[in-house]
Amino acid sequence: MNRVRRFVGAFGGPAGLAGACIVAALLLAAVFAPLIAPYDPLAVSILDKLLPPDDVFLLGTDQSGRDILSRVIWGARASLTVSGSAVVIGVICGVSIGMFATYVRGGWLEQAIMRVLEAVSAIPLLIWAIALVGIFGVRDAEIGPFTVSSEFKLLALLGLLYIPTLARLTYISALGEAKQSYVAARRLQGVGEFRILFSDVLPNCLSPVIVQATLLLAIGIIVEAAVSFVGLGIQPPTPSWGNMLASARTYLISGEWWLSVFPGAAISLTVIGFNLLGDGLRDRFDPRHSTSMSYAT
Amino acid sequence: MAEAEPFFELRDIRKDYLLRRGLLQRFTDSARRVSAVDGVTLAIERGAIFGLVGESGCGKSTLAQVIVRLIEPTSGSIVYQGRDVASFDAAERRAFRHAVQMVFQDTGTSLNPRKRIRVALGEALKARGVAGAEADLEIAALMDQVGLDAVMLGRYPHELSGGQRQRVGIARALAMRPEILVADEPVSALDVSLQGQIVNLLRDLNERLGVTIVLISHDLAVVARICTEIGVMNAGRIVERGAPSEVLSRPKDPYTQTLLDSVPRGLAGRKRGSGAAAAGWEPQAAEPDAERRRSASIAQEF
Amino acid sequence: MTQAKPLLHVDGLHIGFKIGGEWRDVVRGVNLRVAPGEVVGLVGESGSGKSLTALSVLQLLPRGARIRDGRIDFEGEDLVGLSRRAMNERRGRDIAMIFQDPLTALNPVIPIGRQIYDSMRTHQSIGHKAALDRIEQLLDMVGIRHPRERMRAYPHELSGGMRQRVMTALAVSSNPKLLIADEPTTALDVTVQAQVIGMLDRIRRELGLAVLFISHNLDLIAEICDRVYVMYAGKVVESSRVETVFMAPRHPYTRQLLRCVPRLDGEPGPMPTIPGLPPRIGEGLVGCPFAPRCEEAQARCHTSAPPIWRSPGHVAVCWEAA
Repeated sequence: MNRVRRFVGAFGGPAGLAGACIVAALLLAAVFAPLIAPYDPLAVSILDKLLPPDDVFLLGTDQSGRDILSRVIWGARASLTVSGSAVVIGVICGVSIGMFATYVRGGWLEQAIMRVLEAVSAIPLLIWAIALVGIFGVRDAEIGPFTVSSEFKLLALLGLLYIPTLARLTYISALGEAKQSYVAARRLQGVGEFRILFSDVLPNCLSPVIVQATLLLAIGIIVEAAVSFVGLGIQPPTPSWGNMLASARTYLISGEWWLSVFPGAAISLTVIGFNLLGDGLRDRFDPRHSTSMSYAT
Repeated sequence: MAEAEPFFELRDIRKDYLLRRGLLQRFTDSARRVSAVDGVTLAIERGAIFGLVGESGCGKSTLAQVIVRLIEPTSGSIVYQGRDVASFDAAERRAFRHAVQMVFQDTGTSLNPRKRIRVALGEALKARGVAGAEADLEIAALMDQVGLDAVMLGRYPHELSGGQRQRVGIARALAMRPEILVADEPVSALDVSLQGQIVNLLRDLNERLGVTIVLISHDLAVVARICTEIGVMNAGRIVERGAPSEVLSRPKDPYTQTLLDSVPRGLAGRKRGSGAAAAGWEPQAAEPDAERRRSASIAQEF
Repeated sequence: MTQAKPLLHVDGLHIGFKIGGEWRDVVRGVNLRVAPGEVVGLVGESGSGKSLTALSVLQLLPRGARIRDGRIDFEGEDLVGLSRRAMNERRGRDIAMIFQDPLTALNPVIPIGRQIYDSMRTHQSIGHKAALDRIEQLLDMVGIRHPRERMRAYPHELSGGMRQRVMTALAVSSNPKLLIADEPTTALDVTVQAQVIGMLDRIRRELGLAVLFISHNLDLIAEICDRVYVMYAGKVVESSRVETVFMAPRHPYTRQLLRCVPRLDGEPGPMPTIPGLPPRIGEGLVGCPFAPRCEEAQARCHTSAPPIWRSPGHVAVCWEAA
């Protein structure tokens, strides 16, 4: 019984566990898409177009006769790739910048970095995303001998936009930790400042970063969907939940509800899952070091 | 016992903090300095247990940090074994860093919560250049020296009690083979029945290993028990110093007298009408001591 | 023990936390009494349960803590299980409390005069001008100079000792019958501590308050309390008049604890200490909880719970008390 309790506790409670399950399902769908999807998501078949959900096509077909279930499953891959990679970029760069700002603390550089980060985060994420994608375009770019695909551009941009939040989070945590006496003790041992930041301070700053990263994954899904919805993100025919919604727009009134409901539900469910997991992790990391015994008796 | 040159000296140490107000005032700041340490000159003998007593805001913690060189003084010098520390080359600086260690007040934050005790001690030894099997042996010896069971090595700080964590803090400091150990309020957070365990440990280490100890505390009685010499600090200055028996029975400075009067005397204090407890009023603004103390408590804020 | 009807009577109090699905008791059967106008001390170290006992009187237990058994009788009425509204009325009006850290007990964005004003108007029907006068009177009583001007100050503009005085003024503004002081001077310097204790003593004389004073500082308790309860591992191990407990203690814990209190006029040398550690919270106890650390422990102390030894006005829970 205790092991079950501890397992549930690892995710910060039953809600967190539910979130983790949803995220796990999403991951499985994304990774094993080729095996799970019943049909080829790109297979066009005019004869089968706009069929409502039935035994053959579980979630129906779209205007080109493609199976919606398969497209939703493959769409998970697109969403997760964009969202996940963006978070990875954001975390690596953001945490580095945050730690660097702590390292150069006390000078103009620290202030400069913070002001730039604040300026960037003053503009809402979605507006930035659309603006940047609008500027850099959706075609595959040529930079010298390299070809940068549109998906990659999107996730790179998204990653950059995550940096301010993660950098500031790291910076604030690091500043707080750097004041603690265990850091002073390390200094007394003659250990270099850089080494201390890396091996002592950083591990203690990661909890809020992990929580934030989980929540950013959720945001990433929405941003990807929104950007693809306005036609600036992942281009059809590659399935993405966002562009599926975009093409379903014309069918909202005419009654082919399955074209928009299922991708929409996928987005909602995924975002809820990540949010639950993030909240659960936050609960778990917060009171972690204070057990109920810490009350003064 | 008296040496030709003093072991550890502080010469006219001052530490000022700037009160930052606005951009403009930054440039006209002469009036806005606050002295946390206002000219401290002190010589500590090798092998002594020196007690530094004072209330919050008097600057004792700042002075402690200057002694271990976590903070640089605004002016003044530290002289170690006859040589000015500022004249040390890199190797000597490094050696000096190891030679003066600190035990911190807050056991909750003095150990990295993510590192097991074994790792915390191991990395201290590593900083001294000791690793591997030799390090393991030393770790075992250190645990023994501070009276901790080896089973604690595998635990995390939050699994230990306050007193146990304090012992680990002492072990960690000892790992550097220090000449001087500065203990900043090492027992304030502990229960009275357990304070003795730590205080006696420090005394023991002083006797057995010859480590010079600077004990900082607000508790006169603790300091009186084990220190060979006491200094009373107020508003950034050492207002009195001497052997405990002298300072406690024949204080020369009025602040010391106030301190002594304020210590609760238990049953003896029930005949009210003695000491500061009788008044119950705020300190007079006109008295210079109170003035100093008040400005000192502002200093503390910075 | 006083024969008059007690103001506060705690009977068989058990308070516990739920850890890992099981209830662990931190307070294990505490009985204590406070008579009107008396100053009663509750002394103990970390883990003794003294703060929880005090907080439970006002139903201010931290999250996760529950009163599992017992009565808390105030003026004949059981406070346990009282409705929130009824409890709110008792709090502040009949029973008041001051805490260790005045900075967090006072609202940082409201001037202190206003805080007292709000509290008074909530608990009493008192006119605006009358309230202001009373606030001035209270601030004066707690030793704050220039009360009329100081009323406008914010908590952070005051020193720790002054904040403690303000908190006391706030607490007694409604003329409570009982003041619970939970380690009120622990965070203060020793000189300020002396002043605050003097102030508390003066106030309670002037207002005829009963005080339940919680502390780990034996000397303080000895200075101002009439009677004292000594707690260890969630139980009261000794109680009597202060002079008796300090001069002729019957429980080994009290004796050993008294020896540990550092004295200015003591001999230099190693400090006395009590070896070992108090039992961890919730640890199952067989026999006397203090036995592992007790100098006078006998075989039976480890196996059977000690009986209550009584003599007029003196209680000790020990096999060896007689």
